[in-house]
Amino acid sequence: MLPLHRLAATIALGASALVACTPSPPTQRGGRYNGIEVKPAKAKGDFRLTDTDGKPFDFRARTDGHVTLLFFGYTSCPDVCPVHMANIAEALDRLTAGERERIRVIFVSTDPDRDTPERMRTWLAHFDPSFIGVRGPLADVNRIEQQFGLAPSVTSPAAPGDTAYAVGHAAQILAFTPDDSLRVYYPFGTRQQDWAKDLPRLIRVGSD
Amino acid sequence: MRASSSMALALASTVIIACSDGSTPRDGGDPRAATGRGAVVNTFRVGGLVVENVVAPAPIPAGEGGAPIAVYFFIRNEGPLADTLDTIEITGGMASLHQQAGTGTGMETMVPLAFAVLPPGETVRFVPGGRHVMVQGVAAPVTLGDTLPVTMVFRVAGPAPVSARVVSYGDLESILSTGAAAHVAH
Repeated sequence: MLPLHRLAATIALGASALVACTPSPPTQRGGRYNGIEVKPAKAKGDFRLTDTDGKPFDFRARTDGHVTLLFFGYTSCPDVCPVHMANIAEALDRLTAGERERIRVIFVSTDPDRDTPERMRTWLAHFDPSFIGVRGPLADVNRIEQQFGLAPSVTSPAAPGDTAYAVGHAAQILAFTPDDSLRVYYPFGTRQQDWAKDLPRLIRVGSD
Repeated sequence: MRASSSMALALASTVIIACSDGSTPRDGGDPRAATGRGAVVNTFRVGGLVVENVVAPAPIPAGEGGAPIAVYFFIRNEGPLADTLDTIEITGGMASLHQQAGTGTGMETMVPLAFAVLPPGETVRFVPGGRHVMVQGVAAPVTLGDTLPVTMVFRVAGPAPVSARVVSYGDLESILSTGAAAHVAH
């Protein structure tokens, strides 16, 4: 167990490395979605990691034409990550099967050392068996986060063998629409009813 | 330990200031101040303090190593004087107070909280994305519907036994939008 003072130092020192912030996502709320709309919408972008079956994961190919919710988190997270995943799962339960089929949820691990494929699979299946977990070297994950305008994650075990460390990570969920555009950033605090209202709207983008 | 925690908080605060981009303050207009209403899960009175909605979401199964347990609650100080919540004790686990700290870029990290001030006449909320308690090392299975014995240690009111209802992560939103949530201490 990592002593609390070492955990504090780890987090604080790790956070201090983020002073030169990455380009910020947009921060203006309001409009047609319950998140922060990207205006104008951006191209989807692409990345390649590995899924929990050990197979290559090509983001564009695996999510093409679907509403895609992309989140960067870790399974040892007791607060932000499970709340986000649970709220999305609750909202998905309120949709029709047809709507549900048009949505992909992608969880990228920011803690690849502890997040084994098996652990991610078990954790994600608790919320919804369809949620897709992907992982790769943290340096690659950080580059992907930056590509989407997010801050890179901070994972800093104080010493080899430490297992009780926290990971600083972006708290937003990125929403891509079926026209393969980055359309909305959903900050932490997005409610189940927000998702339930917005997901059908996101599905319709490009088909209205 | 207090000194280290304070230093961590100070450093983290520096980061928050350095990276601030004018985004919405964490408590202002926060969608977590939800509007749903329902029954309060539990209420405990400790002198002039009213502790309510003490809940612990059932940890998500993750295989070996498990996952930490979070504990959330509201404390309303109806007394005339301030108090502080210094620690939480849970049998078989190591509990610590934390605060999620954002940097204005949406970056979230957990920062240890040495204590929480409970001003008179105000309600302090421990909620997802804000202050919370993290419990590590609980070996016994914690499952939905369980009740966890918890001791809250207040500087003035002293140790107080309460209990946490084990709920699902999906139910947190509705539970924590009831009771004292209407009055948020910043």
